[in-house]
Amino acid sequence: MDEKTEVATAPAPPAGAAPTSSEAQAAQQAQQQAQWANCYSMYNYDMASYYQFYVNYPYQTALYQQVHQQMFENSKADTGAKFVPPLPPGPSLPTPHISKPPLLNTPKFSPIRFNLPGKRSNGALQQNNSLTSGAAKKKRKRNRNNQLNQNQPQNLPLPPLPPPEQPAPPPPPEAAPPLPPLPDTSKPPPPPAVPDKPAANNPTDEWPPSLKDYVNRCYAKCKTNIDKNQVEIILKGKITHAYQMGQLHTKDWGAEPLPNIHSERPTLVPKTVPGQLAQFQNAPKKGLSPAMGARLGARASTLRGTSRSSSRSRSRSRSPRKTSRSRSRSPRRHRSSSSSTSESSDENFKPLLKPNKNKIKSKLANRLGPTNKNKFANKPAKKQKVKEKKAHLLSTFGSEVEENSELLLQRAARFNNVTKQKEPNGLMANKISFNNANDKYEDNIGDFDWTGFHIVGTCQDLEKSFLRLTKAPEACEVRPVEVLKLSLQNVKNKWKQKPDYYYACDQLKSIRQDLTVQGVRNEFTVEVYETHARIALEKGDHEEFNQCQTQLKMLYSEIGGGNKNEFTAYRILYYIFTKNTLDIMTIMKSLSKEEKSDDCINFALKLRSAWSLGNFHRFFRLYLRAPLMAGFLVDWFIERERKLYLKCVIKSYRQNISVNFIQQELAFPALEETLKFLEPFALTFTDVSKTHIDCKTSMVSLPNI
Amino acid sequence: MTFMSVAHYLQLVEKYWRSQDGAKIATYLSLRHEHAGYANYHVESPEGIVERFLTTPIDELVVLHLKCLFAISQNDYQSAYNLQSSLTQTFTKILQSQKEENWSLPIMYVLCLDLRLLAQLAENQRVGVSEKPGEILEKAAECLMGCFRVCAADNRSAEEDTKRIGMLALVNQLFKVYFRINKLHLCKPLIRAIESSPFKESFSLSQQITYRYFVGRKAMFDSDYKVADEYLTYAFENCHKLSKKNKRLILIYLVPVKMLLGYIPSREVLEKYDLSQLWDLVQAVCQGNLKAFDDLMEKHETFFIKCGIYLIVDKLKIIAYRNLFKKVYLILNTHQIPVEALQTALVYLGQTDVDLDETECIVANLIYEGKIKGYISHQHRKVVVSKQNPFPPLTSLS
Repeated sequence: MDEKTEVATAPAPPAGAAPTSSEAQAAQQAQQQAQWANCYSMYNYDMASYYQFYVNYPYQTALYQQVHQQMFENSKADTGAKFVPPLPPGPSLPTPHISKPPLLNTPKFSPIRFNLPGKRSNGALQQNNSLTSGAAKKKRKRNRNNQLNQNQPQNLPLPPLPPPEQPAPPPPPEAAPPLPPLPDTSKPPPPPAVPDKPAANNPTDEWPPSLKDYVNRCYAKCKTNIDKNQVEIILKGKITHAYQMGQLHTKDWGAEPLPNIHSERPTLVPKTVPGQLAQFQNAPKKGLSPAMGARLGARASTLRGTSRSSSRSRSRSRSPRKTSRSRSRSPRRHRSSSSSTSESSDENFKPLLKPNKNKIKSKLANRLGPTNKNKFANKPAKKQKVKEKKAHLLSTFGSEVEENSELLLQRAARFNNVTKQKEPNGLMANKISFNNANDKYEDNIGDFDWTGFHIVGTCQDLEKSFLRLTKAPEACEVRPVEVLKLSLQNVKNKWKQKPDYYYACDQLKSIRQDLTVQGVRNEFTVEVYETHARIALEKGDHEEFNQCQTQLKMLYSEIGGGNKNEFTAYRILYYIFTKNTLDIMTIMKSLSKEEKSDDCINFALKLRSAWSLGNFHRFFRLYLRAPLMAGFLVDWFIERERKLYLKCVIKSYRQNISVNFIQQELAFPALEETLKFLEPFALTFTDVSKTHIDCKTSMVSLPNI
Repeated sequence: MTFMSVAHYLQLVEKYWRSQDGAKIATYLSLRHEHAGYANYHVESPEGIVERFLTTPIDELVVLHLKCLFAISQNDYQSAYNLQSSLTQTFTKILQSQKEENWSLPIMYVLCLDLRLLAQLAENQRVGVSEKPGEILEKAAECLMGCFRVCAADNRSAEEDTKRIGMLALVNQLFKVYFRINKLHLCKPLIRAIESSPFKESFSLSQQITYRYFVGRKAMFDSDYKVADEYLTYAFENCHKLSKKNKRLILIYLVPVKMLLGYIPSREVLEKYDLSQLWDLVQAVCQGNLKAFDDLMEKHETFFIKCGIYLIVDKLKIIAYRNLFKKVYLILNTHQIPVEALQTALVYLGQTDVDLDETECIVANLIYEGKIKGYISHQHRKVVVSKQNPFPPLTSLS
């Protein structure tokens, strides 16, 4: 264990707030302080600076270790005392009742060093303590009825329980990614820089005996390192808090509940709730971004008391950010909905856990069933709500956050393990407006109906270079259809003047992108794709052509188009080019009689037949009569077929064959080109002027072709 | 008339789940089992009753199953598919959590089969041309892949407990999806997984037959006729004689493949399996009757395209050419056949637009493929065939 973690600390676990994950994570927490501080401080800056202090003062750490050692020995001495101040209570918590934890043997007290960054005036602390009350009772209840338990979110060990002996290593620093952009509204003022103050020489001198006693009792409970680490953190939090509130001396430490300890929770074996099974398979790989944890923690507390449904809907509203190809997850929904009713009295953790439970799988859409789809479809309306929610969050921030700082701390700790998820900020969502079934965003659309989310561009530029989007486009960067029409005309004109494929392709791609982003699918879209397909055809850009023809196929089936047959024919030819007989078959299946008699399609079908039967003569005759732009497409594979025919000729003709015949059969326009084609194969000619090929002697050259 | 009360049903499920009777549970979770048809099983929200009888994890499966039945009874195949998909995914997780045991594989078979069938129904039911065809099936395939991965990854269990024995059933389901959505290239890794599996021979015969049927078809599309012949022949010979429908399906592909390799099916076998279309074609090819061949191709085009054999049957024309030219050779009884004679024969049989050069080209191609031994003298417009065995039997060609 890293040194930094060997720090005695104090926040008491408000019983409910410390599920197993927090305990497992507690050990890591101190190590993460440096990273944590940034984001965490948004909500709890006083604590953050406090932790920073720790990191900066190693000599203290050494002292703590010493303390610790003692504590540990003590605790070993009293192994008898271990009844479990049970876990977070179930749904119905008797609120303000403070139960006294069972008294343990009091170990010898050792000083704990503390740096308390600043005094704060009174604040209520008691609410935390209240949470532990009735816990023992609850525990019995839980044992009795395990199933009920599964519905209690605070008992759901969110990330899988790491084996107690070896807490998961702290995530590497990279696991704390830069903060995703947060909407300004929700951003609290940056943490005031609290200068690190050197600690008083022996702060514990100032401690009331009851506190000293309490600390000792806490350590007495520890059995493992994890326990110790955990207790440290809890104590640290508690004492700091009390100090800030000026309650260090006034508080009834005797009545303070002892923190829950990891090794005292054998009951928290992962349960095999089907909906949860994911945890066992996909152990979370990345820690949740600290910001997320903090935010979640904050939200959970600030939203308490507000209606659950609203808080949940907020968490839902974030989902669209990370869409993925989604399967509906109705089992989850079912489970959660059924449990929500039974637990309405548990106000603390429900809204928090719910979204997070699923975050184990980062594929958000996984759990968004049809209902979410609808929700998302209503987004514009929802947005307003989200805003309000945020406003509420802010307004309640000031007071509540301070009150609950230690709650927050612990809660935040629980989310260490949760898979990182990009912080959704509902406000962004309205800008996302991809609706292309097209190439690159396909993966993202998943199940969502994005049709309602197109932006309308405002850009007036006639020309725009293509740039692959990496984020939601800004309206000012997108051209509206009227401008695009002019742009297309411009591209066409320039192409006629000077066929610069690089320029044309770039412009057309950006026009296509603008159309896609705005969800425009009409005759104009067809025209753009046809134009690009033709230009790509002419210039032999297979990839762009294929993209265009795939889109055209869909566009024709949606809105039709006068050139449908022409492009169907190209598609058949394209499949001959790719030798994709299966897709040829699929097209043939779909062709009607009328379509088959269409000139272009008929040509393509005849060509296919000649091609598949090895009737090269006919194949090349057809090639010479190719309608429209079909010839360009055949050009893509004409070389391949010429070689085949040449092989065939050399193998079956004797004694020799004239180059003129070859030129004619292989549909070369001139003799020079024929010779140029034949040159690399090192064939044997009968004479120096190369008028005839000696087939028999050329047989040895067949592998060259 | 009802099957049994839902409560009774749930009790039985509970009992079989506890006794780990995979086959029984499978029937009770099947959409095609008797209970599925009864109205008392069409419950919109079965959570309440299910939770009274069942514990996790089986309760979730049953809830989803009953919901799915309800959706089907409402003719809402899309939701039914979604529910079945969740059901399969939930089950996948359970399956994964069951280490060292494979008693639940029968459940997986049933769920996956139902999933695919539902995906097909949902696909058919879907309206709106704008949506990509095959989308639901693709998603179903993903779901099946999830199961497949769990099975394939189970390489620590003992042989009798391994879930890898369930791979082939999943592969077959995936084949069915991929063939339907024309994504044959996705089959390749599956084939590799099976071919390299140590249990290759211990999969059940029925699964092996299905597997070989699909691999054979794929080989046929890849123009690998030797492999296609091998696999399809195995499938045909081992397929149970009472599964006439399946035997017929196999034969549809086996006959063209065999013919390309030079084997002609007997009339009896084709008539037995109701494939008279193929018999006419066989005759046309044997006689070199190109006219009849063209007519038959046109007549049965829909059938051939529907079966996916149009393109391969089309290739039989090359064999018809060979047989026709052989007839001309026998009639003229000379080793130097004038190209005009061949052209006349072609024109007589309906290939009216064929000129001398094209005739030469057709012959050249046959020589190139080894179907005719000889050469063309372009200067003399003669085809000179070998004195020995000018038209070697097709079966002798490699």
